[in-house]
Amino acid sequence: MSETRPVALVTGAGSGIGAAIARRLAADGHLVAVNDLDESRVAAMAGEIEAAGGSAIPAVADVSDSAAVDAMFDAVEAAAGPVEVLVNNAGIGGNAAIRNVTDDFWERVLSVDLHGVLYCTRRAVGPMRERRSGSVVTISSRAWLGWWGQSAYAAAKAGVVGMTRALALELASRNVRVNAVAPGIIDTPLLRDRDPERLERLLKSVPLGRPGRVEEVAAAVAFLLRSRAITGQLLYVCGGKSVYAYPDWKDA
Amino acid sequence: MGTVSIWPSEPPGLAGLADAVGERLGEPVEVVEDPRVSAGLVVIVTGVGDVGPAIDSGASPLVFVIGDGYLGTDVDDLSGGLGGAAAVAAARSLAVRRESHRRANVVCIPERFLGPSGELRGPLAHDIGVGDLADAVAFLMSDDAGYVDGQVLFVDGGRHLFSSMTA
Repeated sequence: MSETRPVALVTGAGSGIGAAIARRLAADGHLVAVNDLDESRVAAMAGEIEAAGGSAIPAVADVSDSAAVDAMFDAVEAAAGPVEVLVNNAGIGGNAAIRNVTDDFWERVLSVDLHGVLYCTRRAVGPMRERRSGSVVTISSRAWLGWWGQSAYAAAKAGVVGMTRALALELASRNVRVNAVAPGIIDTPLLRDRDPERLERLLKSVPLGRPGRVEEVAAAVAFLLRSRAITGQLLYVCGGKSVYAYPDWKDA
Repeated sequence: MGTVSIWPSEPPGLAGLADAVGERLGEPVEVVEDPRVSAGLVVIVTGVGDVGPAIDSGASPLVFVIGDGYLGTDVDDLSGGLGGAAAVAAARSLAVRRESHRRANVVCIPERFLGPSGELRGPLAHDIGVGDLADAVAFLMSDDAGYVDGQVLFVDGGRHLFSSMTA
């Protein structure tokens, strides 16, 4: 294991945006601890990073299980050293009209998208405070501003914005920075599975007129991680959708 | 990307910004008298009057550098705050334009950088310098920020967290 590479733990790194973040941080010289729920995805991503000349170790765990999260950090620290960077990316989507938002649905979305961020961040920043060095980036979503069918998801993604801002202040004197990225519509396998007509309608709410690339989200994460004067920032990577997203865009 | 320039001036608190941005972009960056000569433009906003000519320049990408007075931080000098508010409105309006679209963003720094003194701290326990501002400007100018449009980046050690206008 290379001792010169700072360790970056990326949750939900088995696919989509998380995979792009893992690739980018490996290319930027981090040893990447690849977290995902799915063991085979973790092995594939870690193998891909190593094959490209980077360093990676597997970190399988369910982020919504606080004991499993603590054990994962213990194992990563034992194998690779202190975790210098945490990227809270793991999350699940959830589209439901309010009449269908059952207790179970609400709890499932919040347990991963909000509680999971708490469990990983709480465990990560303890040693960061002690070392007076560290950086956390959490993936929120433009949807926290509100969208049809997103009451649970928006609540969770708004929750992480508040958590980010509070912790940025709380940890600033210890030189631990805490920031967030709010993606808009990003070109992932999940998006490509959508009904083309619905997708076209959805893209009309994006001023840039195209979905973002996962690499563009990863580049924003990498920027915040290296920016020593920035903390508490919520950076939208949304092609202008957060500016004004009126869905029946007149010029579209 | 083409030529990136800074307009209309480099205040004493931002001395060395052009060189620092140029170093990061790998091409020379100069302070110019005419904003229309550039492909990409960094606008140092010290008043409302700086915003209109920047829009008319046609430059893209555009980065407005503003003080944090528009958040309500400085009651003595309203002109800086009004210029900042105008620049944020301009960047947001340009970002949602479908025709003759230009990518436009804002970097917000503590107001005093636009005066004679740059060194300052926010909640983070170290000074903020021109290099930190140059990092943010160069990022927003680059393809890495290709899907970042109409946004405000706060290079201030976390001072913006005391305002509701920052999320």
